[in-house]
Amino acid sequence: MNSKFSRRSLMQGAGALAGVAAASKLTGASGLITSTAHAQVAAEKPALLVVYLNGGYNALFPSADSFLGVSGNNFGVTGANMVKDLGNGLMVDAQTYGTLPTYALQHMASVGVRHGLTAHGAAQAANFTVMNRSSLLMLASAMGGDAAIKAVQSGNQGLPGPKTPEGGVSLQTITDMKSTIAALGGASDPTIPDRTIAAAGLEAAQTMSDARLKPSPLMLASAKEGYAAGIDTLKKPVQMFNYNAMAQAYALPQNNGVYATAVNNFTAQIACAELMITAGANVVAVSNGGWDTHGDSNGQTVRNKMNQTILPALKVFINRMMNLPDRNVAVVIYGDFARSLPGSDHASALTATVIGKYVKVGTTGKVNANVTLPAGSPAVPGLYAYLASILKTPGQPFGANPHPTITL
Amino acid sequence: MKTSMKMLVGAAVAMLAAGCSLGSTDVNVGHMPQDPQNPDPGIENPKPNNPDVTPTDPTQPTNPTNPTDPTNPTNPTTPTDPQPPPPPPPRCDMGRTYTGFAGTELHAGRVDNDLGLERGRVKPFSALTGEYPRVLGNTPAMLAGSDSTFGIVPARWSEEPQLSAISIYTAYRIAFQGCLTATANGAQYTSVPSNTTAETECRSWMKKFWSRQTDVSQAEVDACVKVAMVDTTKETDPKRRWAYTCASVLTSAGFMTY
Repeated sequence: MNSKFSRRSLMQGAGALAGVAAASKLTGASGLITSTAHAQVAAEKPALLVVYLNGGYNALFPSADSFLGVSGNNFGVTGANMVKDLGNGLMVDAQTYGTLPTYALQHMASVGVRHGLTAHGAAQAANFTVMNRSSLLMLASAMGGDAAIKAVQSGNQGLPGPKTPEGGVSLQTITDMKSTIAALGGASDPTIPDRTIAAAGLEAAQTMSDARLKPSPLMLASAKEGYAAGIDTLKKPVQMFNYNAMAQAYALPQNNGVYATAVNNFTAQIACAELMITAGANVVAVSNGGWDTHGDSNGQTVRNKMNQTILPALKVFINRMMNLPDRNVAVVIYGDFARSLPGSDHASALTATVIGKYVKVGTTGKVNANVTLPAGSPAVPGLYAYLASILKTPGQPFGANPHPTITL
Repeated sequence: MKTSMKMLVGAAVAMLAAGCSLGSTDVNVGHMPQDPQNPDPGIENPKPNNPDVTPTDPTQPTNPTNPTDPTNPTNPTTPTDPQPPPPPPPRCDMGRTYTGFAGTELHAGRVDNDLGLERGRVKPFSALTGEYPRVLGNTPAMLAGSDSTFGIVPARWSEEPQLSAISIYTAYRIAFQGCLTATANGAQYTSVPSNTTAETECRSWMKKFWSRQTDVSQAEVDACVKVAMVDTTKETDPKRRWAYTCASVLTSAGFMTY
C-alpha cells in the first residue's frame, strides 16, 4: 500500500515538475519545485521573513551616517568610506549592508520604532505585541492564503511575546527540515504512512487527546495547535521539494554525502525559512542570540557577527527568494533596541531594516548622535502597519501605514 | 468569633487538602526555616483581620448573610432548590512577589488559576526515547534520528518541551513504524478488525500506552475504533490496518504528555 502511495506521490511530483517547468524559467529557477508553485504564478504570494537579533540591533547598520563626525566612540564610523549612500537619505554601514545584493540595496528602507524601552524583557515583548496580541500571528492571519502552516518559528530559539493563535493561525516551530518535507508529502520513504489514513489517524488522536488537553490550555497549547496544524498539513496537496539543491545553495554541512537537515544554526534557520515560505507560509521568524553587545563602542563585534553569521545566509535567501515575479517576499531585521553611545548600551528606540519589493529606498529611522529618534516617531504598531502595507495585506490590521515615504 | 475561627480552620484544611499553600506558591518550602508559631512555613498565621478571609465575606459558605448558603432563610433558592450551585473551586493565593535586578517585577504575568489546571506537560524527546520501546516492546528505527525534529535542548539548559504540526506527525510516523513491528506477530492482528475486536484492542492499547486503567471514556474508544473500522478500510493488509489504529492511540496526548 505504501509503495503504491509512494509511486503515486512521485507521479504527482513528476506532474508538478512538468507543470512548473515554465514557471521555473520565469522565476529564475529558484531550485525549489512545488506542486503549488504553478498555480501561484498569476498572483504575487506575500511572505515575510523576520530576522530578530536578540539583545539589540545597532543603528550603525541602518543609520550609519548618524555617527559620522561624532568624536570619540562612534561605532567605528570614522569616515565617509564607512557609509554607503543608497539614496533618498538612507545611508547604511558599508562594510556589512553595503555588500548585500543589488536587489536588496535598491529595495531597502530604515524604519524608526520609538518604543521608549531599555529593558530587554520589556522591549522584546513589545516588539512582538500589538494590542496585547501576537503581532506576527495577527499579520500572518491577515495575509490570508491557504497554507496549513502560515506562521513559523524557524529553529528552537523561542520568540518573545504572546502566542495565542489569531484566526486559527498558530505559531509552528520547525526544528528539522527532513521531517517537515515528509509532512508536506515531499518524501518517498516506504515507511511513511498513507497521508489520508494518517490525517484520519491524527484526527482520532486529537479526539482522544481532548480530555488531557482541556485542563491545561496554556501548558499544552502547542499540542492542541500542533494536532490541528498537523491534520491540516496532511490534508493539503503533496508538495515536492528539491532539498539537495537548496542545501547546496546555502552550503549546509554534509555527512557522508547527505546534507544536514537539523535547524540548529542561523544558516539552517534561513534555509528552513525558504522551505516554509515556498510551502506557503506567510510569516517565518528567525531569532539569533548574542546581540547584547555592551562595550562594543567601535562596532567591530556586531560587524563581525553580521558578516560571519547573518549576511552569508541572508544573501542566498535574497538572491533566491526576493526577486521572483510571482512572490512578494519581504525581510525585516530588528532587535530589542539600538545600542547607545558611548558604551554600546541600551538605547530607548530602534531602527529596523526592511527589504522588499514594495519598499521605497529611504528612511524614517535616522537616529541622532545620541541614538534617539525624533519625537513623534511611530512605535511598534507603526512598524507592523508598514509591513502589512508593503506586503499588500488586505485591510489595515495595524491601522494606517505611518511610513508612506518609504512605501512603493 | 467562633464562626470565623471555625471558618478559618476549615478554609486552611481545605486548602491543604487541595495541595495549596498560602503565601509561597512558587517557593520550595522544604528548606525554609519554620516559624515556631506556625509549623507549616507555607501557611500564614490566621488573623481575624486577614482581608482574604474576612468574617463578613459574603462568599463564605457559612456566612449567615451568604445568599447562597442553603441554611440562610433569605436564600431565595432554599425552598425549591435542594442542590445549591457548587462552590467555586479552591485557589491558591498569588504567592510572594519578587523584584529582580533592574526593578522588573518577576511575578508579573503569573497566572491565577483554579487548582488542578495547567498540570499537563509535553514529554521531552529524552523521555520519549525510553517510552516508545517500553510500551511497544520494540524500538522504532526512526526514533534514533528524530531528535532534531523534537528540538533537543542543549545540556544544562532548561526549556519547556513543545509540540508542533511537524513533531506530532513525526511522532505518528514513529508510532506507525513501531506498531507495524508490534502487530507483525500476534494472531489477533491477522484478521481484519471487527467492532468487538477493535474495541478490545483499543482499550488494551489505551491502558498500556496511557497508563490508564478504568477511566477511558467511550468517546475515546469510539475514536480509536473508527480508525480501525472506517478510516483504514482501503488498507488491505490487516496488520497494517491494526498498526494505523495502534499509532493513533500512541500519538494522542495520553502518551505524548504527562
